[in-house]
Amino acid sequence: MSKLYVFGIGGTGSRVIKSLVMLMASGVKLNVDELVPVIIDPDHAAADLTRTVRLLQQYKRVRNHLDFHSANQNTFFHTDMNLEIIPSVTLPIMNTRDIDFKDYIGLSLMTDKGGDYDANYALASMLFSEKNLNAKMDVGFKGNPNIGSVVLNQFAETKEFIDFAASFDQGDRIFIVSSIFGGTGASGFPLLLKNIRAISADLSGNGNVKDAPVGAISVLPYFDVAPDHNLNHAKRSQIDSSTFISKTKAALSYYDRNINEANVLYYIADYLSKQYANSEGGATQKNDAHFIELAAALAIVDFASIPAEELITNHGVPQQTMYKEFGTENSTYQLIFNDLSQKTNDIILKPLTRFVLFCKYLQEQLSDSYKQPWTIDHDFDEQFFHAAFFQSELLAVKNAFIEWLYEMGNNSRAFAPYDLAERKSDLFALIRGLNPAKLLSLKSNYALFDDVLNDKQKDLKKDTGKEQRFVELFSRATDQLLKLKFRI
Amino acid sequence: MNMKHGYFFLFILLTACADSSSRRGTFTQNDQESESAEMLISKPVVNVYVENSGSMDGYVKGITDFEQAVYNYLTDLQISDIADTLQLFYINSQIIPQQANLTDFIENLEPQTFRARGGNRESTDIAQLLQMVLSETNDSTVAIFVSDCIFSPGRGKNAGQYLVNQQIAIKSIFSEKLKQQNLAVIVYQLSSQFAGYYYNRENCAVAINDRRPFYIWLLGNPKYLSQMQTNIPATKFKGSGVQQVFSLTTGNQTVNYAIRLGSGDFKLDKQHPKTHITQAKKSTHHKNAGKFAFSVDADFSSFLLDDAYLKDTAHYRLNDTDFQISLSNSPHHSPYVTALNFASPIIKKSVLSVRLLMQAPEWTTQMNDNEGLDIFAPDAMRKTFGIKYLIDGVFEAYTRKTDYYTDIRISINK
Amino acid sequence: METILGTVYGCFEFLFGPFFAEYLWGYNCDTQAYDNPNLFNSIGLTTIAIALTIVLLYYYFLNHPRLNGAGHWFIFLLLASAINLLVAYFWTVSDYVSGNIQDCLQYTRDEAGNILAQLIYKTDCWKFGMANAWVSAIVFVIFSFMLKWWSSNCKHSPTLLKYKK
Repeated sequence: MSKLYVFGIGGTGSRVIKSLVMLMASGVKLNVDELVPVIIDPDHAAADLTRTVRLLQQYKRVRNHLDFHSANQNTFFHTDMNLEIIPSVTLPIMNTRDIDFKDYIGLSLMTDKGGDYDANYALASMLFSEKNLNAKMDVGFKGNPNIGSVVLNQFAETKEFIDFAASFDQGDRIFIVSSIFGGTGASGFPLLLKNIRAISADLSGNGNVKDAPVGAISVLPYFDVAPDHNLNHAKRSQIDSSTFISKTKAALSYYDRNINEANVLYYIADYLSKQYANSEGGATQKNDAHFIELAAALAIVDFASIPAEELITNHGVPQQTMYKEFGTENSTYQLIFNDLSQKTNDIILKPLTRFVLFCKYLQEQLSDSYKQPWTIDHDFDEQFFHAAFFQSELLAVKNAFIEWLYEMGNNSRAFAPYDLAERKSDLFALIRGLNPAKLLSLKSNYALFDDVLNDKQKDLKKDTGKEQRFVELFSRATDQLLKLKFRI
Repeated sequence: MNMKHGYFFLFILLTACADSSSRRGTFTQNDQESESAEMLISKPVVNVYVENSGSMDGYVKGITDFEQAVYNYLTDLQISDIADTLQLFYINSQIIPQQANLTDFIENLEPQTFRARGGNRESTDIAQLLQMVLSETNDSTVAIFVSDCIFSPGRGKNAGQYLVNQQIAIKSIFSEKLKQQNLAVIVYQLSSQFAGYYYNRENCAVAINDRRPFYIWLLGNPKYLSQMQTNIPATKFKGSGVQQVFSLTTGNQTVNYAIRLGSGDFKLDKQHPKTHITQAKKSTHHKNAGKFAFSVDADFSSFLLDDAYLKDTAHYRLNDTDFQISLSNSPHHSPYVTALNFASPIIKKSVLSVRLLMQAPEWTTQMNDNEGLDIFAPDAMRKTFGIKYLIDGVFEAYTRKTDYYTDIRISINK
Repeated sequence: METILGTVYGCFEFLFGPFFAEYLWGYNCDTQAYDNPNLFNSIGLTTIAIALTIVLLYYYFLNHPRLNGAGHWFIFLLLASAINLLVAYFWTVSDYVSGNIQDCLQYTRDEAGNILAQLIYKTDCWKFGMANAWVSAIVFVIFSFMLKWWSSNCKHSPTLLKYKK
C-alpha cells in the first residue's frame, strides 16, 4: 500500500493539487495506491483552498461508491485518496489570526532585565521592516517569505505533523508544491524539507520519513497582479507583482546554496502572464486555473513513476538530486494538444478527452436518453439520478472539471484543447486540431455515443452497485469512442 | 478338336432357335393379352342377327319401315367407321351366315329369302336365340339382334308358366354371360308395317296388315355400345323412329363426379375437393334461402341411359331424407353432363349417399301383351306378347347383386 | 402443414371473397382439384420473408438508438405492410389481367354459357393486398417479440416493460 503525500503550500499548492485531482478523476494513472493531499496555508479562507478541499472531498465521496476489482475496467477516479490522516486536509498554522507579526515573534518581549529592548530586538528590527512587523498574518505572508519562514517553522510541532509521521510507511513518497515568488510558498518549501530530513527522532515513523523519496516543484512566476492605486496608503495592498521577479531570484539563489535534500527538483515557469485583480487574500483570492498548474501536476505523476532505486536517501541525504523542467512543442497564446509534446499527450490526451466526453454527455445528452436500453437494463432511474451520488457528488465533480477547463481556456497563456460549446451535430469535433475519423455508419454524435453505451452495457455484471456500473459503463464507452473516432 | 467345337457350337445355335420359337409361343400369349386390352381401343367386329322365323315375314314384305330402319342403322354404322367388320346373319334355331354385302342383304329381306335361307322357322325360343347370339359375343364382338321378340309357347302349353320359365332362362343366360364379360344391352323398340301372318301363343296364324312393333337389340362391351349410341342416337333412326328404349349396364360402377364450386355456401376439402364439403353453411341466395344447398356434376355416360331416365328424381335414392334432389344439366363448360342439385334445411356432419337406381322401364308393362291370343283385341296390335317377361329376365340378371348403377358419396362437414 | 398459411389468410377472407380465396388456394377448374400452385403459401412465405427482413433490418442492421421508440418501430411495421400489400396486389393482379384466373372462379354461368354473375373483380386484388398488409403486421409483431432481445439499441422497442423516468 504505497502512499504519496503531496504538500501543497500556499495558493499555488492548492491549485496544483486541484489540477492533480482533475487528472486523477479523468483517469491519469498515478503510480501509487493512495494519494494523501496536505495543504499548508495560513489563509484559511482562501477561495482556492476552499475549492480544492471541497473537490477532494467530492472526489473521495464519488470514489467510495466505486469498485476497482480486476474485472472492472473503469479508469475514472482510479487513484485512491486518503483524507483521514490529515482531517480537513490542511495543516493548521496556529496563532496567525488577528495578530501582528511583531506580536507573533514577541517583539515587545524582547527586553532585558531593565525593560530596555535587548539585542534580539535590535536584530529583529533590522531584519524586518516596519511594515513587516505590523503585518497581519491571517491571510498568509503577502509575498513576504521573510515573515513566512519564521512563522511556518511551527508546523513541526503540530499534532497533524506528528500524525503524518506516524502514518508514513516504508515505500511512501513525499512531494512538495510551492510557488517561488509568493509569501507562503517560497518560505514554506525549504522549511518543510528541512523538517522532513531533520525530523526529530522522538517522532514515531521518523526513520521512514527521514529517508523518504522527496520530490518538489517550484512554480516560478506566471501571473501578475494589478497594482493597487488606492490613495489611502494604509489600505493599499502590500502585494506588488513588480517585486515577483526579484523575489524569485533571491529564492533561487537560496535554493541553489541550501537545497540539496530533495531527490528530484522540478521547475516550471512561463514568461506570458495574466494580470489578476489585486487581492491580498481571503475569499477574493481566487485565481483562474492555469495550464502551469496542470503541468505542475504532471510533475507529481512523473515523480510517482520514478523507480525507487533512483531515489535512495541515506540518513536524510539523497544519493543524487535530479533536476527536471517542463516544455511544450510550440509556444502559442492558446495551447492545444498539438502544441504539447508527445510525452505529455501520451499521459493526458486520452484520459482528459474521455472524461470530457463523459461530462458533456451528462450535461447535454443525459436528459434525452432516459429511454435508452442502458438506463433501463441497469435501472438507472429517477431515483438514481436524484440520489446524492449523482446529484451532489458526481455532478459536482463534473461541474468543477468543466469550470477548470473553461478557466484554463480563458487564461493567458490559455490551454484550450477543447471546444466545449454544445454542438450536438458535431460532437467529436471537440478536440481542437484533431479531426475525428468518419465512420461508415448511420450513427453519429450522441447517437453513436448511445449506441456504444447500449453495446457496452451488456458486459456489466449486475453484482456491483449501480454507481460503480454507471461510471464503469461510461469509462468503457468513452474508451471505445476514442478508439472509433480518433483511433487512439 | 476344332470339329467338335464346331458341332458343339451348332448344337447351341439350334437349341437357341428352338427356344426362341417356343418363346414366340409365349410371346404370342402375352401378345394376346395386350391385344385384348388394345381391342377395346381398336374396332369391334359387329355381328348382325336378323330373326328369320315365320313370324318375321310380315316385316319384310315390300319396302317397310323395318327394312328402312335396319338398313339405315347398319349404313350409319358403316359410315361412322365404328366397326372393324360387319357380319350379317339370319337366325332362328341356328345361325345362318349371309355372305352378301349390306345392300344386297337388305334388298334380299323378303319373305322368300327368309324361307330360302332355311333353318327351323316354325317356333321361336327367344331364350335360345339370345343364348346363340350371346355365345358369339365377346369383348371384341358386338351383336345387333333384330327380332319381334314374341314368345311362342306352342299349342297346349301353359303360357303363364312358359313365360316365367323363359324369364328365368333368360336371366340365367345373361347372368352367365355377365360373369364372363362386361356386357351392356340396349333395346330399341320401333314399329313397321306388317303384312303377313301373326302367330299367337298357341301358334295359330292370323293374317294382319297393320303396324307392329319390333326390336333392335345391341349387345356387347359398353364402350362400343356407347360409341354406337353416340354416333347413331335414337333420333337418327329412320322409318318409324325409336319409340321406346331400354338400356342396362353392369351396376355398382364408379363414375366421375365433382361438387361444383360456388353452388352453395361451403368450402371444399383440400385433399378431396370433388367429394368432401367443409364449412357447410346455409345459403343466403334467394333460391335456396335458409337451406344448405350444393350441386354435384356427374358423368353417367357409361351407363348408356337417356336424358329422361337421368332427369327422373325417382331414379335416385338418397340415404338422408332431409335432402331434396333435383336434376339439371351441368354448366356449358363443365366436363360433366348431369347436375344433381341438393338442398337440406339441416346441416349435419354426414356422408350423403345418392344411388342411381337400376329400374326396369315402365313401357315394358304398357307394351306387354299378357294374353297373346287375340291380336285384334283392343290395343293388342301395338303390344308384344311377353315382352315384359323378356325384359324382366334381362333386368333380373343385371340386378342380381346390386340394384344401383353407381353410388355417389358426398362427405359433409360443418 | 401446407394449409396453415391459407387458414391464417382465411381470417381475412371477408375482404377478398371466397372465390378469390379458391384461386389462391390453387383450385384448378379443369381438374376440379387443388393442383394449381397454392398462392397462399408462396405469397405468404414471401410476406413472411419480407417482414422478417425488415424486422432484422430494424433491430440489427440499422439498430439505431434514435429509432428505438415505439413510434419508430411502428413506422417500420407500416413499411413492411406497405411493401407486402403491393407484393400481394401485383402478384395477383398480373394473374387477373393475363387471364390466369380460370373462368369457373370468375363467373357463374348458366347452362347455355351466359354470365349470370361475376365472382372476382380487379378490386379484390387490392383487398387481398390489404389482407396481406394485416398478415404482414401480425407477422411483424411476432418476429419483433421473438427477435428483439439481442438488439443492443432497440431491445425495448416497441414496449418498455419496465421504464421509470
